[in-house]
Amino acid sequence: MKVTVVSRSGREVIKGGLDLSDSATVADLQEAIHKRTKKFYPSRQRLTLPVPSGSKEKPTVLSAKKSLKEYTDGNSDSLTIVFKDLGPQVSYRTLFFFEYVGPLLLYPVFYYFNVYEFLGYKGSERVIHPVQTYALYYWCFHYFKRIMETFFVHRFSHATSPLSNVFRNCAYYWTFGCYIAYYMNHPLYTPVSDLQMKIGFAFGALCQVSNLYCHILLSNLRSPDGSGGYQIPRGFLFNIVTCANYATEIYQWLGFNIATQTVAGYLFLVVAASIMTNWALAKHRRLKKLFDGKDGRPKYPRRWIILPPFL
Amino acid sequence: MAGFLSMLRRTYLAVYNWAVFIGWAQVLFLAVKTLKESGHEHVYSAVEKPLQLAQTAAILEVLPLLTATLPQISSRLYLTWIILHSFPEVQTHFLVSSLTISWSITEIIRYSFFGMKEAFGATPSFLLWLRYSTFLVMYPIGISSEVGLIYLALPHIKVSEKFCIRMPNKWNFSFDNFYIAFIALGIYVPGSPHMYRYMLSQRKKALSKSKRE
Repeated sequence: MKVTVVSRSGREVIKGGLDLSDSATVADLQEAIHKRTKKFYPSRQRLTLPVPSGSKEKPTVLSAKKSLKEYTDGNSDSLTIVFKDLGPQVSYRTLFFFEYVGPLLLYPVFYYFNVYEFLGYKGSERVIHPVQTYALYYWCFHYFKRIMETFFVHRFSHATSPLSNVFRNCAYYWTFGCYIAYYMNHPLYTPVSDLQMKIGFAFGALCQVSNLYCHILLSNLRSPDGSGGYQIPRGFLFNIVTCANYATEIYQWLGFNIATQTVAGYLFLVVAASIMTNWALAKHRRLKKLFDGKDGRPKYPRRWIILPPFL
Repeated sequence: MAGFLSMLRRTYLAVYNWAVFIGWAQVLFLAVKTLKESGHEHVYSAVEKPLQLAQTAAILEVLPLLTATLPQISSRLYLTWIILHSFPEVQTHFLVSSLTISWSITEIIRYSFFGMKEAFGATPSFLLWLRYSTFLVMYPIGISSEVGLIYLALPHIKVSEKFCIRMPNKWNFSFDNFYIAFIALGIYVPGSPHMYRYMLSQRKKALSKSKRE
């Protein structure tokens, strides 16, 4: 089979096209493109079927496991596909690791080392309040848990993410991490009441454990070779909330903030919650569209999207 | 009903754009007049009220992200209220004149451009050309004036501690206007070439489109 590879502007990306066996899969095509173009390894390639110009349809993305024959419409001798370079890619594991290792390592720096004197603060001996110590443990446990989940729990549908996301995401996590750590461990930090602290941390801890369970449930929806695709999440909180994992994460941060009470912490909560809410709305919409009750597919049940009792 | 609403919207936008246009024209007129008659030290006090009004009115823009980018509006508001209004020590500097003149020329062209579009449905090509060409000179002047004024205000910000929140407090929060000013200056470093390049690409798009029509 002859495959013509063009860019989105119509220019031929591979002069003369490629010759592949009739039973070749998309993955074979990706390998062939990589061999010819050296720098475009498979995870950088986005291959789609051409759409007629002017059409507003979203192009069909070629799935790596399918055979090329499935994408030809009857004329199985030749196929034209559109190529887009996604830019340098890193694996999601790499991305998540670097995002989370920053807060994990930087927060303790503010706790253990006298950075405040370095920043010009002149004051008497620093007194460490119990809440600051608990906050340190809570925070570090949280990011340690996230790293463990990245390596042992999560099953990723896309193996890679653009390299630029590493800089963007690390900037977000690391900056907020330092911003919160600065106020949490400040010599002039004012703790809340003992009761408020206990309630906050207890609630947060409960949510963190729930969050872990949610992640385990989600990863079991997908088979080990990562070909799971989309399923209706079930069990535990998923029976009432589509994105129970995001919900527990948000409430976990709320617990932390109730116990520690910093504007920086609350700011982080608001930003994180809005980002996750965006994701949750898209996921809920996608699942409802996929599971519309037609053609023998189950109908997606009525559920809260992310934050009961609001959304 | 939809037709009526869209007509209402167009009328609102037309009136809004022309009103702000007049505001900026006033700023320019007063700035140049005061410059000639009394010298640059008096420009600020002459333009203060119309400048604040015209610049703050930008918040009411129905489509601020389409006509002027958010960083531009926020830097303008920062200069108008946090720097100029709050620190009289910098109000007499010559940079105030270059700032107000470059801002007002840019805004006059921009608002008349949109005012024309909303009121008449079309704009004269010279206005289009002006809109996408004057920035070539106005942006560097405006940006240097903004940066210069922030820099000049720095020692006063540090001493006066205006808008600063100090620890300890119940919410464990602090706000240091001095460092914010530094960060603001820092943002200009990548921000200005980015904005300039953006306007250049807009210029290419707009002027080539009109040539083709």
